Amino acid sequence: MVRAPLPVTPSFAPLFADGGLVRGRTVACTGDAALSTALALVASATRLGSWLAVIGVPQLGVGAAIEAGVAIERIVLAQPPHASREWVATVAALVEGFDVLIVAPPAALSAHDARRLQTRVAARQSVLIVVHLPPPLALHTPLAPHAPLAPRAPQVFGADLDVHADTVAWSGIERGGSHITQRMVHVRVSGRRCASPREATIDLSCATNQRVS
Amino acid sequence: MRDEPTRVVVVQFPHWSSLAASLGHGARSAFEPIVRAVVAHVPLVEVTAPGIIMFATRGPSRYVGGDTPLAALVHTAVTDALRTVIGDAHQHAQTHASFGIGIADGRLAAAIAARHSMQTSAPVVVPPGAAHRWLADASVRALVECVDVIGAVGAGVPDTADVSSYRDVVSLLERLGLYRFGDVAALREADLIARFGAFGRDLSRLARGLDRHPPLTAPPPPDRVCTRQFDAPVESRDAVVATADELAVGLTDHLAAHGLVAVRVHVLIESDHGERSERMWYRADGLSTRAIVESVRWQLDAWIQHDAPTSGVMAVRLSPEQVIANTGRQATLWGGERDGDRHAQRAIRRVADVNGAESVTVPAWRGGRDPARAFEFVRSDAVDLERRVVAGGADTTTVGWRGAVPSPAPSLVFDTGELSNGAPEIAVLDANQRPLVVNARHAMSAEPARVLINDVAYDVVAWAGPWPVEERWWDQRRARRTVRLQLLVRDHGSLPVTRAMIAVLERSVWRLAAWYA
Repeated sequence: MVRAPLPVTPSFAPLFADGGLVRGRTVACTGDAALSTALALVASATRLGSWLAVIGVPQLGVGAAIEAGVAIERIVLAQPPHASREWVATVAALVEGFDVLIVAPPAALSAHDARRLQTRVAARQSVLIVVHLPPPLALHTPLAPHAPLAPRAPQVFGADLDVHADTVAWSGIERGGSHITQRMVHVRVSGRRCASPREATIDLSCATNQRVS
Repeated sequence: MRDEPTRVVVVQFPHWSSLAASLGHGARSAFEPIVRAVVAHVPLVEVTAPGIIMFATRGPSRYVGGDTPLAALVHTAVTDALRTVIGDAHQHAQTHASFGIGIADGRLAAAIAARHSMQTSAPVVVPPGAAHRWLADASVRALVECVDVIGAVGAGVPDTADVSSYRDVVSLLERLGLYRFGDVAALREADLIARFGAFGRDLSRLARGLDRHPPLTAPPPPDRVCTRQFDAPVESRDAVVATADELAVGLTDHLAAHGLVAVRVHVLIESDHGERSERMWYRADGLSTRAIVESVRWQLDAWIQHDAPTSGVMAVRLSPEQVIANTGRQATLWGGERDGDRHAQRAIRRVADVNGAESVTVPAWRGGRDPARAFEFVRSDAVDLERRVVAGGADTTTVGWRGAVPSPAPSLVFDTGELSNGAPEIAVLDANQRPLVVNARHAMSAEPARVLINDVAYDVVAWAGPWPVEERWWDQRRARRTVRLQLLVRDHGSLPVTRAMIAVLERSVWRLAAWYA
């Protein structure tokens, strides 16, 4: 049985040919706004009852998730062991219960294990969002010995869709005055499950205030 | 029926899931040898969760000649079993292996005694009738640690809107100046109910050393035992579990029809050759269908692995031994729990069992100006996920906090607290490569020009601040004076990208506090 795609926030909807996140697929989020974009993508789904697991991002700014419109009562954070096999076993167990998973994969993850996980995601009809956290946080590890952020961005997942989000403008902030009030992001959606790439410039700081009925 | 607490033994390993994880085992399978060591001396123990064993002292105590010999006996048995479980595992495992044994009237007093016993590594026996005095001196914070023994706040209590966890309860009690159970017990029950809602009654009972749920005065409903006799021995483990599932649904539905839920269920599995496995399962919140099925699965696995029954299963019997009025979970009647919620909770529980409960967390709003501390991550087993969903995250929607980082919020935050080394140290330099300093009047020594993170240099394009943050200035010991700077930086890569971050200066050290990823 093919289930309907998970809806995305209206401002992102035109970027997705299928009208949303097709279940069973893997989406890779890259660019300097990868994490914020990933949160914005899943917000509508969580408000409509889907559970979201954020895996391997112990430093998640919950405030940002709330502003993106994620239903806070359905977020769960998991910090699995970093060894490839155990990491996949944990994430696979979570796939059983979660519609959406945002993962920052560990450096040790092997391509073989990543593929096994994707098979699981396809079978369970969840959506796996792989975020590649930007340097410098991703370049070096000695941030926190117990919870390193993905040291390199491992391209071990064969993503169905690539969502690349780069900030093009920060507004509000000056040399010494005010503060950031707006963030414009250029988003480009491409990949093997995407006939023709689509792109748009989206106000990420306000993607949030649009509600799904 | 008299309203007296049962005298119980509590054996508690507070860090069991961490221990099991460091040994590379599941929390349950690793705990089984400990349970078996105790069962060798005390036939019917209650297992609540991996890491906790409880049983009534009445029979066993009389048999071995008193509470103190009983405690010593259990202590030796557990210590020996623990040695074989850990084996020659590395030092890391040893640190989580501490456990305590407490004997007292009532579960809460016994659990607190077990906590105390961990420090002395000898069992603590509270004499009969002295539980309320023992409790009177105990800190109310023990509620948070004893959640597995006494059950979650909402269990069996309707309308607990203003308190959703023991953390709330404790913080409220402390703000009211009630630091010990003795202070709480001195209050009238009616006053506690007025302040805490229906949970006040439970709080009053707990503080007075009574068991949380009063004995039922109504007669229990008839036909409480659910049995399934198979026509032929069943060899498949899954088939037995499926049968248990059916029985459990029947049992919980039957009880629910009478407004009841079982807190103790006796499970008996019998093989064709007359071998039996019986065990008592306890959960202070009441055993749901799911909890009963999981218990049966645990019991069956342990039986197959350790006793190797010689034939298939002939009979499964579930008998509720203690029931309480079920008033708490009515919310689910009007569409609270859905399939998705149930699946997610099952997955969470499974992962928590394997990797330790602290590896799976949910955010809870705490407030404050520090972006990394506005939310705390609470162990998923310490909150009622179902209730959170029904409440629609009402407890977490308060975001506007004066002096907090303005919206849009950063998506990665690092804890800059003094005890954590979470936030990476960085350097903020002026145009002359000198470290930027901020004086007591919050004036910067110069304009920020460069930032060094892990030896990677970034040019500062724009900045906002400095914003002084003074936290808890009224408290000398915990006061913090920090200065926050929002920075827009550009790296020197082939494709220059502008990134935003927040740097915090505390005691002349700059740290990365947040990153807009």
